[in-house]
Amino acid sequence: MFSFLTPALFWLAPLLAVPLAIALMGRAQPKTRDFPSLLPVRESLQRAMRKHRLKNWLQLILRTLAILFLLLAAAGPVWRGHSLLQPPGSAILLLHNGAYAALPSPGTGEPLFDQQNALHRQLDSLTGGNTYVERLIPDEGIPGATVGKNTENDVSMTPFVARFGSPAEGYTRLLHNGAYAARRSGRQGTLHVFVPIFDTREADALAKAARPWLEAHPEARLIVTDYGSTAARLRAFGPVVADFTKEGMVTLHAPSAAAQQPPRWSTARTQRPASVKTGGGVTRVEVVIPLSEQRGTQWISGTFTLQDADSARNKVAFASVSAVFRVPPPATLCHVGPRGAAASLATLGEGGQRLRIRSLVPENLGMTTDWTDCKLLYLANPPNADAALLARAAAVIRSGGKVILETGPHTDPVLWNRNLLVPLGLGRLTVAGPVAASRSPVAAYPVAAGLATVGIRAERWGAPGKVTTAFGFQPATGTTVLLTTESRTGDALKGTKPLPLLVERAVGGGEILLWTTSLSEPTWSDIGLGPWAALAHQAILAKAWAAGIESRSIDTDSQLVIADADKGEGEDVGEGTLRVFGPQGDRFREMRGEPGGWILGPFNRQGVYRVESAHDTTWFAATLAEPPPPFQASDRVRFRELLGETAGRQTLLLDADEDWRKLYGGVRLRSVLLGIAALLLFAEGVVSLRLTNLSNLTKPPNPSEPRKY
Amino acid sequence: MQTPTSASPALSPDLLARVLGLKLRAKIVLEGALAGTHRSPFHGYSSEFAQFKGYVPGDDLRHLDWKVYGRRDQLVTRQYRDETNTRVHLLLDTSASMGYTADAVNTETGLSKLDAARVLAAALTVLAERQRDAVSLATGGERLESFLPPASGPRATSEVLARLDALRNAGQTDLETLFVQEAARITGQSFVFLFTDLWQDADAVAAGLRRIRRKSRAATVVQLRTRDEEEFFGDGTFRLRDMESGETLEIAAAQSRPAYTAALKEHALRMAAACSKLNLRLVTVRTDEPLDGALRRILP
Repeated sequence: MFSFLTPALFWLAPLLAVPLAIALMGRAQPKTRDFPSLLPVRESLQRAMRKHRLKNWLQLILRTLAILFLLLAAAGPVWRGHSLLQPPGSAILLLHNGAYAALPSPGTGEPLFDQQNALHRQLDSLTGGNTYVERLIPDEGIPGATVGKNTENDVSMTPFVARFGSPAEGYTRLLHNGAYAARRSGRQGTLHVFVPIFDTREADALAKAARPWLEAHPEARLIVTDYGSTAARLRAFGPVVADFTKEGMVTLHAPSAAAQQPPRWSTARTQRPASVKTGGGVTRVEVVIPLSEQRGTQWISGTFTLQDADSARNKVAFASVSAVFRVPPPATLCHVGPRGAAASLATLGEGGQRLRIRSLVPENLGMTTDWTDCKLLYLANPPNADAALLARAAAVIRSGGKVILETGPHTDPVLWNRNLLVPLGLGRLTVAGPVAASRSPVAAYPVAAGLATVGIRAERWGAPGKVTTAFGFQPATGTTVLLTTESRTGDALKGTKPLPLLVERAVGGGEILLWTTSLSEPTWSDIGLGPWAALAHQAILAKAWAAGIESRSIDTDSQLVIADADKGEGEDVGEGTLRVFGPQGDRFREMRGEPGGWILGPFNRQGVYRVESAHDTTWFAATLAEPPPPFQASDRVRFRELLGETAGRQTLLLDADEDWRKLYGGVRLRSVLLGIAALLLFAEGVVSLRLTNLSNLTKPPNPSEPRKY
Repeated sequence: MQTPTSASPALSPDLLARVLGLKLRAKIVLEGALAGTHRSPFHGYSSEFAQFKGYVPGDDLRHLDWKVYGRRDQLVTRQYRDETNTRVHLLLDTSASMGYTADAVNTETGLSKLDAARVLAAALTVLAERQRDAVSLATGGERLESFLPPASGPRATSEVLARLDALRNAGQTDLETLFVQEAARITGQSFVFLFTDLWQDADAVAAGLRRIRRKSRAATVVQLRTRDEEEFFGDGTFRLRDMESGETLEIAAAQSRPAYTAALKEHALRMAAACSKLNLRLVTVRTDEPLDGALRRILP
């Protein structure tokens, strides 16, 4: 089936009559001349004239055809015989525009976003009779549609996964709300819903949600792209693909026992970890990604959570991951961060372990906290670290606990020296200042090079491992300098005049570690890809591990049982009993009483949940569930079965490698038609030249020329 | 002084066309044609001896006097005075096609084929009168329309010239019939001159010529052609109207010229072959060429 990109040019169709008009105008009424006798030459003349007329007609036809093909070429014909979908005419396109849009497509190497762009261009190139309205459905519910000259964006879509957690619920909302919103906006046309799937869970959920919807909307089409192979690759690389990943797709949880141990670090240069590897063939690279404060995130590590922070520009941002470590009573791992995020430490070293961290945000520092519970206290550049807080830290150390201090822009070195560092015999912070740093090539870092081999673009973060600003430090006797910076370049672990970056000292039964630079402030230390992440985690987790700290986290799609011996069966949730608050402080009500305890979940939001009971207040973290197996080719049969016959006919299941340009696109014939037009013009020229040559061969007599006899 | 082989501007067709009197035209042509040549082209069997003449290369060896050679060891030729027993038959095709004048835009000064034939025939008539030969004039197109029996003398010449002057072209061409009817009227030792444009099928023409050839001592076919007929027209599209049948045919001159030229050439070849086979002389005369030169070619 043909269609044209610029059908308006057919208004120029009267040009086709130009050759005919010229021929008619040039055809003067022949002058009648007497001739002695036609008898001997009549047949030859008639034959010649027939030939001449034939050539004239041929010339006229060639000219007309040349103009016709030029017109056709200008109109941009497209043969859509191979299109997977018929041109939508008037269509409403619903595109799930989650973080997956930035994923590289396995076959073409193009990010899915590029495929979307290709689709947009293709839709733009549809004929004027085809209009479409596109709805981008971001995970975060950010309304936005920025592409398509025919695109109108006037419908705010309901958020998808981030709001509804469950994929099945999300797909149902996607289909129903999308259709409803489109109809409500008065848009008419066929609904084409583009949904990617990455795993069997999504496929199942989509099939179950789509079947009744498609049967109720026989005109609608569901275009499902199977990115199972991508999921498999993501699974293999794990966090390496932190650049492009999808919510729920990435796991740091190595299955092997080796992964349960935190990475080790040594001050010896030769043993400096170039990368962190675990067994089982899974490469696990610990990455700390300090994000700017303007983006409202802290540094994270461990399990990544992706959010579409800016879907309109398709920027994928990382939000903090909540994890709660719980130290067996009375010990608690406490963390005080620089700003009011919920919590910000990793869940490394899980593998069945249940670690907990009590996150003490600055706003909560004044709350009633039994600091003796804190067996591990991490003060991450707190903005209001007053003498009281430092005294509490000293108390933790003296009680046999561990304290990690991270300096930064908020650090008052005089205050810290006087109240904590000097009394504990650690040493003395001096005035902060920039480290004379020239340049630190990324490639110089084995870690960066190693990451580059697996796809992480180290240069994205500037000069990883570079320490730009740090406090000076004069270690006291007995203080171990674990990490230094090279004075000339500012690179870590280099140079002969080291500037201490991480120092450690045992104080009684306790221990103190001090970072002389900020790990969360990029303008101080860009530790995005250096060995710092591993060091930081080791610093925490080695101690926490030794302290027997237990993680308390649960997958979002699971249920948490909180034992309560006083709890009776069927007892309602009410005031005075167990109260659960979500990550944003709102009341969580997905809970019910069972004999002997409470069952919480599943959880529609990841993050730290606070559980308050009459006896205690505790925390747990809900993290995204382990992704199910990727969608395999063999799962297609099951997918079709779940869809059923009717909905199956309305569904187009694409491979990830399939080019979206083939969806509506066809073969553009402009070049071919231009070539044909050129050939026609050439042929016309040959015919004309031949006619001219014939005339030249038989020059007409010149009456004025004198004759010689 | 004009040389015999050069075209004389004084005898150009344009000039002749402006000369009104046919006899005068004929004399002008004749004088031009005979200048420097032997004055008696017609030689009969029974010519009366006139004189001896020293042999010069090129003289007919048949006229060498061998007795004189034997006696005096000199080569001399015998010259004779013609007798009036030679008859000249002139046949003019007066079909409509003979009225065609080349360069139609200049018909006032151009000679039609009939005009040219008229002048040439008149010149031959005057020449015959000088040699006291009898001249016969026949005209016609589809058939023989008029016939003057052979006669000599000033009166006969005047009659022939008057007839020639009064000729008008009309009708179609049937050369076979015309030649057959003419052949029936040829008697004795005759020189026959056929003035026609030969616009007819070569086979039909050949059939008529065959009859002429049988009855004549020598026959010359004078084919009149105009420039347009030989070179066709210039560029442009024309509707050609057959002057005899009225049939029309639209042609593009430039594109039709090759085909026309080829057809004309084939026709000419067939005519030449027919004449050659019958031992006839075929002389093509263009109306725009000097007629004295044409007359020289026509004379035996």
